[in-house]
Amino acid sequence: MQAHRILLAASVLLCCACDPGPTVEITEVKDLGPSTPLPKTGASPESRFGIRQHPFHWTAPESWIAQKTSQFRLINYQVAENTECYLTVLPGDGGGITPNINRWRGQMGLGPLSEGGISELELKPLLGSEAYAISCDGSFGGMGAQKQREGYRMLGLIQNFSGIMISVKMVGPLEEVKASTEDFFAFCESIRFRQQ
Amino acid sequence: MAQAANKPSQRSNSIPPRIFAFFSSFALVVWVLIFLLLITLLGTLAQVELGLHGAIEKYFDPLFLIHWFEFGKNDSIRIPLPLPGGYLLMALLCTNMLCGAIIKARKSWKQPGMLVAHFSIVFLILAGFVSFHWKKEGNIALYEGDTSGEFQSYHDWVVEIREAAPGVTSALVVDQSLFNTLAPGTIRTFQHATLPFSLELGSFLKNAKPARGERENLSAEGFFLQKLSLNPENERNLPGLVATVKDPSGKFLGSGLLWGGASYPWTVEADGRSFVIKLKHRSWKIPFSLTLDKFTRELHPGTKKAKVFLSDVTKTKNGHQEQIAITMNEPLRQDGFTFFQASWGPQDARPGDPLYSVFAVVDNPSDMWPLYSCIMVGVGLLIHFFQKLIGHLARSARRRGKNPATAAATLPSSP
Repeated sequence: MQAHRILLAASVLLCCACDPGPTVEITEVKDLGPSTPLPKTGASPESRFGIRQHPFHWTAPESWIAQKTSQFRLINYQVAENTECYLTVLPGDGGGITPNINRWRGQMGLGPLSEGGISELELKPLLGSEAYAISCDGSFGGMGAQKQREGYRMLGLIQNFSGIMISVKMVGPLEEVKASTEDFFAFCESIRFRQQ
Repeated sequence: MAQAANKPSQRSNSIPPRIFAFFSSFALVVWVLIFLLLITLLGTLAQVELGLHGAIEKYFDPLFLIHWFEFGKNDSIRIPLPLPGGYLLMALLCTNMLCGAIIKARKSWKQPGMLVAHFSIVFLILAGFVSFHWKKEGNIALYEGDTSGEFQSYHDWVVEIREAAPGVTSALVVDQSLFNTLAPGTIRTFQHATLPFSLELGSFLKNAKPARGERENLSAEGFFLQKLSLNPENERNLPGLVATVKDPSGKFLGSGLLWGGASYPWTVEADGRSFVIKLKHRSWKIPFSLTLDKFTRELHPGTKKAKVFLSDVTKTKNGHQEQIAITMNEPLRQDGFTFFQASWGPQDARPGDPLYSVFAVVDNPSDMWPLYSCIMVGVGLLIHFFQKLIGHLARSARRRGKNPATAAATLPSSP
């Protein structure tokens, strides 16, 4: 029994000795050699992290995971396992608001809206202004999709801002999108042009 | 295995003999082997989720661990099982072998083979111990014409602080063991007599990437560290942490994010001097420099399967140059370092694009010990079985001598 107590006490002492404490004196010095080039100084966070100066700033929920962006998809998030949310910018009128909304509806297996139907769409805040909002349920077959995915929902906002077509979409399984709907509209409302 | 060759006639009450009896007991080795079997099983299963490095780190490196059994929907029921880690079990096994099979075992000329074999296994475990604590493993990536005199670790990270001024030939290094336990919200302060500031490091994340925005305890410079799930291939995880610099009076000088994937270091101005701070892979110097002269890649026709990967390198040491070829199956062993042809890149290179060659580098003081140990085990067993054979033949001969009729009856009859 005594031997066990000694072993236990030794273990506790060992564990205590492992914690270096709140303040540590640096002891390790590395020899760089005489020919080490001078490091680059004053690099901005954007260049250090390989992130270009973004034309927008925004606030996204903590749980959303930022994904790689592309030429047109300037903000891109994975919201849940199969749900994504992204902001797209198209130059010019980007084909027009109505054709874009109808294209989205087509991706969800729904028919097109008439011009009158478009004007009846709800308006939601985006980039300090208002944008047309849609919510479509159906089977999703987006760009490049091999097969239709049943039970999906698409939320979207679209508007033309001074000659640039900007849209924000969230697409995913119905339950996942339902759970993130509030976050989606809060995210859209938070987006601003950087120069503003 | 542990042997109870010399059983004490009387149990001693003093502590040292009892400790020795405990460490040399057969029961201890049985329990150690049972636990080794268990953690090997659990560690192997955990590789699916954690990857090889993660499983080794969790099950085989520590003294103790807690394995969680998860049941029910979404693993809602979790039952903890505290277990001894691989390190502790191997230490116990080594001690048990040493005490039970070498010190306590009867030593006579009748059993030298078993003694040699047991000693060799202790030596094998010691080789593992030396390798665990002192082995350095990493890689060097070189384009044709590039020269390097150091290699980078695959898994170990450090924070390096150096003054950005001409003539500076040294940098301060903070090992990851001093910051990799700092959870978000916890900090540790680092200082050095040559630094005009103290450096606070905290909120370490094993795999992260910077993103724009603010998060409590994870933000600096308008960016925050976004926590990512761990990649089973540990080399792909890029850690990050938050750094804050204060002058000796405690005045805030700045804060920044240190990230493993950053292209450039974070710059700090203090006392009119510029310092750069970077989170990077630990690197070690090699006692010579290596220049890649030519990299040859040949694939099997119509496939991406390697036929030949060959790196022609020049080793330069003290002005003396030597041309060496490193191929897939012929590593370069030099001054205790081993250089393997590991891979090449970029993987999406088109014909004519410059390629780089990657050498896996291992500096292991006990590199050849397992081989020596296996030879010794073989020799020990050969001696043992040879002695057994001689003994058996001698006994048979004696039996035949005592009773020729019986001995003759046991011999096979000739045709």
